[in-house]
Amino acid sequence: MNTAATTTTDEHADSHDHGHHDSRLAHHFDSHQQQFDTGKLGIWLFLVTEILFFSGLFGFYAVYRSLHPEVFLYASQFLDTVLGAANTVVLLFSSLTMAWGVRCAQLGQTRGLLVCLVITLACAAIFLGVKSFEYTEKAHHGLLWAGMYQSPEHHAEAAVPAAAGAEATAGHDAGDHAHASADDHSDESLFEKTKHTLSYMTTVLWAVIVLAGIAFAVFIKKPGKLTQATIAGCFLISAVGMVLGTYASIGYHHFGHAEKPTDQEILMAETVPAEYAAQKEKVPEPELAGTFFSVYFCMTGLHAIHIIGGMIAISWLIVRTAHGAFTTYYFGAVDFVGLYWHLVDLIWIYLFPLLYLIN
Amino acid sequence: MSDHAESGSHAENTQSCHVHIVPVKVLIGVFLALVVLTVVTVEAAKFDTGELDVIVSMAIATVKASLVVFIFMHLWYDKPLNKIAFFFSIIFAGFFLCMILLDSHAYDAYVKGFQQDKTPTVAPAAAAPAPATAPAEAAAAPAEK
Repeated sequence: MNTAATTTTDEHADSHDHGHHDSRLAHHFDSHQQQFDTGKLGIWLFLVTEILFFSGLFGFYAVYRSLHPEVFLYASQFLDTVLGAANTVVLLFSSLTMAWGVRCAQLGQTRGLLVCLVITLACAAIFLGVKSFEYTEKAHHGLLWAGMYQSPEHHAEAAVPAAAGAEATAGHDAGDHAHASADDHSDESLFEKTKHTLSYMTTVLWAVIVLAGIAFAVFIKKPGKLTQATIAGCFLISAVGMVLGTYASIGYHHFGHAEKPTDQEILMAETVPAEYAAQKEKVPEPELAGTFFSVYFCMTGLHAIHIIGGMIAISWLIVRTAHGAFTTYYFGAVDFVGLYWHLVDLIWIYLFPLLYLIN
Repeated sequence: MSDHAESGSHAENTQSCHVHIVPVKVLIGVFLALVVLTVVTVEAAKFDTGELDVIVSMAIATVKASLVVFIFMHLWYDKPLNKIAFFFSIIFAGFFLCMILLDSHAYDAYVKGFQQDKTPTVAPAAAAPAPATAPAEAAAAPAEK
């Protein structure tokens, strides 16, 4: 095999003058097919290590849930299923556009590939935006990892169901004591705090993006206008997507607040929060509730880091696509980043029911 | 791989890469199926099915995952070596989860004995969380500390 490879490479070297040298084919490969197959095996091996890497965290989850199911039953009430499901759909859609982008790359449709990659990047950013809203809100409710966790029971009762306005309503219903108005205030103020932190974070985000843009412009050797423009565009898309995701979640929260109060609605709505309200007396707070949030922040945090890595990879693809790097016989990079992106999606497919949908 | 090397001797044939291209209809169909399954899993979680809950949601997640793996990730049309690598990783991750679950439940008897020894002293404290969920032994353990 080795000898065969060398002879062909030599042939290539001989044919330099005859035809254009193919800069897309690394010199140690016979053909594009071989280059692609090799890269594909490589990325699959990387995905295998990723699966085993995440399986450690899934093991943490499995052991803890099998030993203390009541903790999961209690603490998953604070995760907003609607936001989680919306994020799932956003991520699935980004997976679709990524797969479509791979198809475009295989067919040599550069414009279609560019559009698909941009949409994928925007969806990833929206996902992170929604996630940052969820994290910020949990931080303000004191629902942090074990050690930092503050029991929501000593907040006013309305503050207990963290995310949705609908859940807050259910909380009111459950704790229908004289505190009702006070509860409302505390929840409102928590939400205001959340919004304030998020708007602050958004400002920081924009600053980081501008600085990163300047840094890129300075440090890239011989940048070229196209490269700079596409990098700036990628940053802009990420930032807009994140802000969009964040404000969409804030808007969703507002919407939930606006249509909350009447008791008949609550009684009629056969939803999880209402059930939670009914069950509330029966489910006391377990001692180790904070550990659920350790699991939650570990798993979703690691997943979010993978999303950020994927966004960087997709930005790299966008820059290369803008330079016309991909053709019908050279699209390996698109396919491999796509595989990685689908794996990130795959992990979320398991995380969503495991964390959000515990009944 | 040798046949590629043979055909690769021509300059033009090196510039080809034969892969399976998934049609757009299939991609969109898979996406719609994934969205429908997401809705199904959210709705299914609203029914209180007890122990079955985890199994149902994991089954739906596995169906979704296989759609993504086989169609979006082209694994169905991929080389056997890639398939083997992926499935062995899944199998070994499964072994890993089973082993640590077996191991952590190997001490259940000790924990139970410890709790039974302890119960008389902290009976009123343990009584409150006990009716919460079915596995009261597990619930009592944190409550005693």
